[in-house]
Amino acid sequence: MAAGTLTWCRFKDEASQLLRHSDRIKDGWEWTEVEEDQAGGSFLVKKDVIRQVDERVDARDCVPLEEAEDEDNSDVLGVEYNMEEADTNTVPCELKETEYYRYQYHVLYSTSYSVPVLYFIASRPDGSLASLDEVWSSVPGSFQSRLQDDRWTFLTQQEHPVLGCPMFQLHPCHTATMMQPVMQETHDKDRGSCNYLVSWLSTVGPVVGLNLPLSYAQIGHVT
Amino acid sequence: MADDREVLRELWDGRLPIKFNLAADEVSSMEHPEPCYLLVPRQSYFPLVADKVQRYFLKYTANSQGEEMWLEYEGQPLKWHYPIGVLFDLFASSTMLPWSLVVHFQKFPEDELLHCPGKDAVESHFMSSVKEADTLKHRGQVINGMQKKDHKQLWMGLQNDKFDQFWAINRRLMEHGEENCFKHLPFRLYQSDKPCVQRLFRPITEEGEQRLLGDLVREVAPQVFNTEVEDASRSWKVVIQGVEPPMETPVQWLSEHFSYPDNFLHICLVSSQ
Repeated sequence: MAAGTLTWCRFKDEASQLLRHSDRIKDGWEWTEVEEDQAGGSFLVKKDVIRQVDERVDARDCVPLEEAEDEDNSDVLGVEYNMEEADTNTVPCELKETEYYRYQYHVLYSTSYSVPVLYFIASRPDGSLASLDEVWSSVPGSFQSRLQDDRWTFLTQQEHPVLGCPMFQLHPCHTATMMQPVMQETHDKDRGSCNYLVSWLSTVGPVVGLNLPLSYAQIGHVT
Repeated sequence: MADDREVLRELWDGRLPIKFNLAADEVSSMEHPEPCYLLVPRQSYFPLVADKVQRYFLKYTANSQGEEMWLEYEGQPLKWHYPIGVLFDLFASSTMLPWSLVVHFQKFPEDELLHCPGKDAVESHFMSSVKEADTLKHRGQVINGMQKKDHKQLWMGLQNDKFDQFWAINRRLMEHGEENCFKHLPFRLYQSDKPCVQRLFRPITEEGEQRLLGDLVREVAPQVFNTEVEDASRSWKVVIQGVEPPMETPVQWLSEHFSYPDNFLHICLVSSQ
């Protein structure tokens, strides 16, 4: 396989391990089989993940606070709240009340790129689907600069390759490049096995609110 | 390299006459608007050509909330991220022209259609298809070896209907190097009411023989050739770019000449009733 990629077989094996561990710690992952025997036709699903979003920021305009103005604002990402001036250097951002979204995550295998791909839906409390802007806004502050540079090639709405319904997708075209040093390091230091899926998911998941408990790191790759 | 260039030009110039009507229950003005007629390129996407339609009908609806326009054909919401020619071949190939569509601004079917926040969304979708196709054909080496301005030129060529501008870059994506064929064929196969099918498929056999359209269809949609099925009376047409290529056509040739600008071969399976 090309560097940083994995085969469908390995994807399935590692998914089984992930599922076994998930069952053990009641983490809620399931395996969905839609097209048996087809590479990429089955996938991992995790439903009903509630994600509270305390502050929504207009993804286009975030300016660091010069001074802490609001004693309640202890977040890392500060915003400049500016209603009056038509100042072209700063743009008004809105602080919203606490909201939550219900997420559903799907981990599929891409036969085109030979890498896993993360899809998700985010629904508002009333059941309607979150918009692309809302999703971009809920990317954690530490990833926002990455999003600014390149959001249209990073996280967009796409059709689920098996189910056909609209979902958000983290683009897979850079995954192999990202994973290559990780796989290489494991190989070089002869650490034995490494679960590609866990390494990948623990890296990309947090961008969209999916955090893998540390205990997953115990899973080894079975040859 | 695409040798039969006349084919490329003819497909590029393919047009569809469309008649747009505002949904009757969304008309809020006293008079019902006249339909709007447009001749649209088969190779393009609706959000790139339908601005005029949106502007025209907006004044007849109570569109105070800036709802997104969406199109429907006989109850079927149309996916804007499919090329226009694909939508026609899949849903309306036996209909009389002009192709009659209904325009909506309300009740966007978000469980079926992607949102299109603007032309950036179309460009993003188009470029990600081009990248995926090149990953299948050349492991991504050609697309990744291009500069950003080349990617932009592809997109602008499509958007502005400039064949030469587009193909100046696209011909590099159609080259097949020493092996005389692509590594895998970028294709998607569609049937109405089913998600589209995409598989890995090599254009030549282990022995180096060209694989044909018939081989592809047999592997991915065997029901087309299966005469033992219950509804054997229902036969299928295999339509690409509005025509039914012979089953003996090599898929490599089809990929080089019958792909849409996104570099995918979009194959529609249509009932021939």
